[in-house]
Amino acid sequence: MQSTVTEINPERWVHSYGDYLYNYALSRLYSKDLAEDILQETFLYAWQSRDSFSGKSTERTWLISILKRKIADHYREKATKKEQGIEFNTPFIQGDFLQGKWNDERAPHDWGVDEDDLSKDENFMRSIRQCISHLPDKWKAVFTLKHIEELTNNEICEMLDMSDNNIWTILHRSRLRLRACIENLWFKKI
Amino acid sequence: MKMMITCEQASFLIDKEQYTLLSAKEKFNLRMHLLTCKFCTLYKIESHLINNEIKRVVTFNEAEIRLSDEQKSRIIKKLKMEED
Repeated sequence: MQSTVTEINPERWVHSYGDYLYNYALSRLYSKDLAEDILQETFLYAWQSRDSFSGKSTERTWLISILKRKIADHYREKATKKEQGIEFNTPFIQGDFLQGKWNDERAPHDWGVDEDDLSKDENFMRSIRQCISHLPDKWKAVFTLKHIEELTNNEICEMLDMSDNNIWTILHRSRLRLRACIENLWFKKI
Repeated sequence: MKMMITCEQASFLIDKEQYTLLSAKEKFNLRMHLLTCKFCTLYKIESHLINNEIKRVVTFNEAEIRLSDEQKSRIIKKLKMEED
């Protein structure tokens, strides 16, 4: 009767599901150390609440649901922190009659590339990832919820306790910064 | 032409448009702006390109990255401490 309970063995979890869960975490957290920490917390939580595993779903599904919650907690923690330290260095001219125009030095350059060539290039994808990983934590949370989890603004508002306007602003600033980062990393390596 | 929007506003709409439908007024303002602004036209191209690539980046990453043996034993060690 106890057999399903005694089979629960965290060491086996790590070997059977570790890679999968790690990838899942990594693609949402962009940092190996952080992904490992969250994975650790996930297994720990699973172990402590092993009695609640009903066996209705597979073990993997159960572990993923815990991991998802842990990632969500992490986002929430980052998002509710004061925005101190996030500097938004706007690429637009401020405060004179050219207000809101691109600052010449920071305006987009013509990349002059073929998108099909770029998308075959794994290094280009790596550069994008690297640039995403450099976004401030709060922006990264919003950006990832939008692009990877494909949540609606309403869902993000609720989860991170932010306004809709706030989300648009963060998405826009993230994208401005990503574009500039990619241009610096990829197109100015002359 | 009090309807004219700035590059700052236009780039905001360019990004927003990739997530949701713009209002008729927003669309009109953006179109008018893009007619005369080469920087925002470039921004639009690059912003779309990045958007497409991000989708690829997501699936690309979910490929093969494995936990190292070192990471595994670190995790197991901590779990064992907790079990005791």
